[in-house]
Amino acid sequence: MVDTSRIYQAFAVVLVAATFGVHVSCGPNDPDRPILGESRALDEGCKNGGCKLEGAASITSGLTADTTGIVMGPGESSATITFPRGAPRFGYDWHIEILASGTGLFTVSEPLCNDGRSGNGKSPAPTELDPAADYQWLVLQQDCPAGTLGDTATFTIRGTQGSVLHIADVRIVNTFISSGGCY
Amino acid sequence: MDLDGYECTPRWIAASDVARYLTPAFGVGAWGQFSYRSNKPDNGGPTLKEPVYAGGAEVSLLPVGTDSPALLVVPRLGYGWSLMSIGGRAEAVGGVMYGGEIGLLFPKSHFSSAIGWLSGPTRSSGNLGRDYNFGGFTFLIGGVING
Repeated sequence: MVDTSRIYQAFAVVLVAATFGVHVSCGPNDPDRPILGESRALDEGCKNGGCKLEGAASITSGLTADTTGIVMGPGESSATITFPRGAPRFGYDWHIEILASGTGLFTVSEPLCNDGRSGNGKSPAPTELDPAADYQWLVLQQDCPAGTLGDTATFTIRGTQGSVLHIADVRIVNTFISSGGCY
Repeated sequence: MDLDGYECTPRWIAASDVARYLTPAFGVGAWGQFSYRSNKPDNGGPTLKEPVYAGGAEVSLLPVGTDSPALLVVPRLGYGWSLMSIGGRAEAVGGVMYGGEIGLLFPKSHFSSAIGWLSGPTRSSGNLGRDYNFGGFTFLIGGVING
């Protein structure tokens, strides 16, 4: 039997604990799997003067107080963002994606892959971007070829009156194009 | 956060509580806990760090008596502060926490184990963030000091 008279008194419980957790393991290193650029590339870009905003576009805090975000709209707005591309990936094409939510229509003109050409050798026409209410990664235009020079990527996005876009991050996505050959 | 490469990860918790039993089966007390998690994205980038400080009041119930092992049920109410940061300086955001735990006490061996759940809904510290919850399910093991 327990000495109940002692339990009736005050007792302190010191607990050391750990939450349940689930670790999602990744599969084997698959060359066909896209290689994602580093998280928080937007912070790096804007910190180094790579975010040029016009009209109703402004820099604000992002997903947390210490990260960067960009708000565009609802008035006419424009943002040109330059950010680091990360290590070059030979054998991989690459393109830009933005983590964004919003409403309305935006046009994106891209980088020309840093060499005055688009991925197919022609000047790319601006493309339209149709953001959703919830955050998602939006793909900007076409792939740029492997071996593209330069260590930064740049794109310009424009919003019309009444359109609103919240940009929380940007990234480079490298896509495997060949299992053979050397670059 | 998940879309940006920051996965949901376990938190480590250090917690304590003190209760005074007004009857053999009913006590009131106070609780406090500190939890911490960190996560570095697989694709690189700054590490997310999130310490959480929380505390409040509790009711401590022994519904089936005090024989060892004693079943312990503890509803809790309190307030917590999360200081989430990603490579920079955190800004605290707070929220009411509620939940509780259920466990077994082994007073003679000064041992306890419990499972619990606390909810801590709050807003994001960043202007573009979404509301989130810094609570969760807990698995607790610890010691008991009988006063």
